[in-house]
Amino acid sequence: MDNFQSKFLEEASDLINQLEQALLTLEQDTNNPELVDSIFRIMHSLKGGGGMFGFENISNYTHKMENMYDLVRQKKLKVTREMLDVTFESADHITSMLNDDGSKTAEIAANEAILNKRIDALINGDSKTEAIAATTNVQTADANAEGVQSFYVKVKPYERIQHNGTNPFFLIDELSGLGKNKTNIFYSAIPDFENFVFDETYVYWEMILATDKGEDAIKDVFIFVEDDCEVTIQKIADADIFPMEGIEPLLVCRHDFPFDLEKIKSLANAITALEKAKQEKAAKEANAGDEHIKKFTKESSISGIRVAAEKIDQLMNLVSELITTQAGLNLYADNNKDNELTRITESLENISRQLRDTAFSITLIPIDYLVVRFRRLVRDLSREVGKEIIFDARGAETELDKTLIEGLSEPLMHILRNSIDHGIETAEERTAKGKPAQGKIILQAYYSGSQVVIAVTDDGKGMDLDKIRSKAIDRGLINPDEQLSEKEILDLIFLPGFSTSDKVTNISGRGVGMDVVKRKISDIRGTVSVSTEKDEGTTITIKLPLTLSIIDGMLVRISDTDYIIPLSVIDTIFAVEHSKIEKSFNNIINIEGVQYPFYYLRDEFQIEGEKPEREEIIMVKYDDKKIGIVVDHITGEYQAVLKPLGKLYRQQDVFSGASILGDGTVALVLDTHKVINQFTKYNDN
Amino acid sequence: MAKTILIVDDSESIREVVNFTLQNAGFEVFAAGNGVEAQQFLDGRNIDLVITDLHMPEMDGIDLIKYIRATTNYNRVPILFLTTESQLAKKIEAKDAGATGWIIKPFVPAKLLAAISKVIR
Amino acid sequence: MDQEIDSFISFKLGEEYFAISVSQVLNILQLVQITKVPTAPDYMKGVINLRGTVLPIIDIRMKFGMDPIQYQRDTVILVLNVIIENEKVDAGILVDSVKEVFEIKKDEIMPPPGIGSKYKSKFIEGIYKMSDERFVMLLDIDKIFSSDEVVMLKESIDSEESANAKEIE
Repeated sequence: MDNFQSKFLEEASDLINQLEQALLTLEQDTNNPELVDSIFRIMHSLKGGGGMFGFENISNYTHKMENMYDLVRQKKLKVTREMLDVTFESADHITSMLNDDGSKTAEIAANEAILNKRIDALINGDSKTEAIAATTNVQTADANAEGVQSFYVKVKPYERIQHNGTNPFFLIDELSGLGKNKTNIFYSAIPDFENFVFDETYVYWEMILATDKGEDAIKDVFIFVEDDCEVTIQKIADADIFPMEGIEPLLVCRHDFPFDLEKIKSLANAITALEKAKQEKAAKEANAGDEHIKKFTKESSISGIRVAAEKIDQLMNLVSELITTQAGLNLYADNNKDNELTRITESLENISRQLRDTAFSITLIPIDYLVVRFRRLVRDLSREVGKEIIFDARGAETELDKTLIEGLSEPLMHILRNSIDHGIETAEERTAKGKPAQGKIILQAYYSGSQVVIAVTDDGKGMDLDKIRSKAIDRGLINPDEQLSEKEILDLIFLPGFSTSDKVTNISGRGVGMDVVKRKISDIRGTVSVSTEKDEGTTITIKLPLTLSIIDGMLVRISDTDYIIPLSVIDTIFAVEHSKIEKSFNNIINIEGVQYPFYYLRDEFQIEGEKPEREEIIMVKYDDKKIGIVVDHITGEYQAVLKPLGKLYRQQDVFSGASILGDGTVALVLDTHKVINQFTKYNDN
Repeated sequence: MAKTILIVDDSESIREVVNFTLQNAGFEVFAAGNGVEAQQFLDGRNIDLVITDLHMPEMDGIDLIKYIRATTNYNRVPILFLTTESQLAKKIEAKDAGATGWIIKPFVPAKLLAAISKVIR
Repeated sequence: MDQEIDSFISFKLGEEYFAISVSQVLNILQLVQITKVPTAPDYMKGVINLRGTVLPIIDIRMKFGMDPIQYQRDTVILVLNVIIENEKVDAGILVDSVKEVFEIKKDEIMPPPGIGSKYKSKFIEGIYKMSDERFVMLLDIDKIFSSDEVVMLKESIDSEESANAKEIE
């Protein structure tokens, strides 16, 4: 219990921080319903948590505050100075209740009595209800005055430059010292061996340099050699162009190939102008009160956990970049037979792999971590409402990213509370319906493709569609004559402020639940849906994308595109003559006396170009069958960091994602199961 | 290994200042009072940089620079000369003679080191 | 504060000028190798690697019923932040060249051309006349990207164009 209590203490102080931030913003913008909502929710969370973890006093107190803000939500009460003052003082009051070791109990009680009176006065409208004029907080965005400029510097030393003791490479060195740079060296002017003079200088170079030291500092580098070389200095942009991803491909050093200066300049100018316009716009928006406050409220909901999540994201991104870079290094080492290089590459690869495994193990947590909490919750709450409920967790070993686990905790808690409070009937009701007296809640977690599914099922009374409908009409959410499908009706419960419970209870209250659930789940890029059957029960299903994972795959190629097939589905691989495929009838091929159905991916994907004479047929497992997939060429095994293809390509579900190869290009990861399904359907038609 | 520098100046105080600054910066420093002493010193030695004044008795800086550039064994050694803002003509003359760069007198240690860093690393 | 000012970035598709609010443009990229995604509609050119994430690339010319883009020296990718079904999504569009960033007062924007235009007016937020008398079409990029219809775009272009043609008659 102590463990939970300390967890609650942590959460509560987080909530109080959020409360104070929301109050400060509300002070500026007293009519912002989002802020009122968020204060209401904070009170609600404190109430729920307080009740669960032995802070009855907090639960009781926040219940009052919650009432008050509910009235504000319903526009029956206006935000006043006094209300803000009381709420601020309440935040302090709750904090002292949280920290009370028993020595201040009397003092706290006295304080509470006063606050209660003031709250009652507010609720009953006794206090002066002068609305506070909304003032806006004028804030100017920091001008980005770093003063970094980007230059193009071309240096063509005369052949004699070394004669007076100048080492031209020191010039590059000194220039490089001014800031980040990329340098192209031109060797093309080096003469044949017989014409080569040892201390003549034939190479020249050009550099893209970003420096905050100004053009004079660049000129200063050449002060001794003005007469010994041709120097061209051109400003590219009043900004550092190196962080501009868009320009990156133009800054690749290919010796003897000049930079495309014109293109760099025009892109840099466009990007700089774009950035500038955006900054100005942001500054303007910061000035416009509403926008500013909206932004502020969004940011203020970021709790301490989020920060940790960002760091983990960063770590994971770095690790996946490392794996990608490693792949590049492996490729390079393979192509350049050098024992030392190979040795270093191998040992680095070993370290990369260990680092990857460690990093992943840090972020992956079994759902069991939450289940422990939920067992307790179900036990305590069911006892409180006088219901007998068994809680069963299946697939608790399913591992999820730490960030997802954290994001799931609160919504799942809400869902469970709803089931306990509204879903499961009392023992008498259940017996009357011929159901076992004991109710049951099942939490089930499993992987499905690139998603994790978490379903909470209860065997309660189910949701009453008519009741939801009429409630929605009452609340003005839908028109009385609106025709809605079952699914559309069920979706109404996810709207803010919706509630099906007639009485306000201590547990799930008045329907704060489902809209919060939906919001929190979409925060972690998931979806939530509900299905229900009268007297059978309700299932709430949460689907989350697997954000980042690494698969062992086989890298294959068709035409000029790379694909990855997960090793786990591959059974065998055969080389096959194209003529044999041509001759095959009805997409069945005979290999070593066995008949296999196969898909010729090049045709299925409508990839044009010449078909190779020899192709590879990969036998993949499909249920208990083996089905061939024909590709041009197999490159080899490949560890792929799986990246989502994104919403725009969600129709293309034959690809479970993409991966970035060592050379920076993108390979598509095939979901062979879906490939087979899709093209079977397609061919049948 | 520490880089070696030869300072050639008839003024003992200049030699001292340069010596002190450069030693502190980790160079190995040798000193000569004029061109002739420098010639004798350079004979058979490898030196990484020569810093020379232009006006000296016996053999002045310009002649020393010319001599160094004409001597096969060390004709590519970087040479910095000491000069003042007003001696523009001398500067051109020294450059034409083959000097690598210059140091404007009077100088502070940082300036001296900055100039050196342009020619040896 | 009635005079709302917005900044736009203009670009060329063929000989025509278009513009998008800078608040939706994340970046401008040099063209890189695009990995084609089979089974996707033709105007969805594929994906590229943008600093470790996978960015979809759209041939906006094709989306507007123009010829597919020809890659040239000035061809660039505009990385946009669009809202598709209430979700923010990053996507790149291929444009023939980027022109400039300019400011517009809201009341200087003229309504979309509507009937007879070769571009689907539902994608166009308005028209602006530049100081050099050129017209720039301000695109409603969210609309362009939104809805599942994108998959059926070819058909919808055809049907809409014929519908437009009828209206002209």
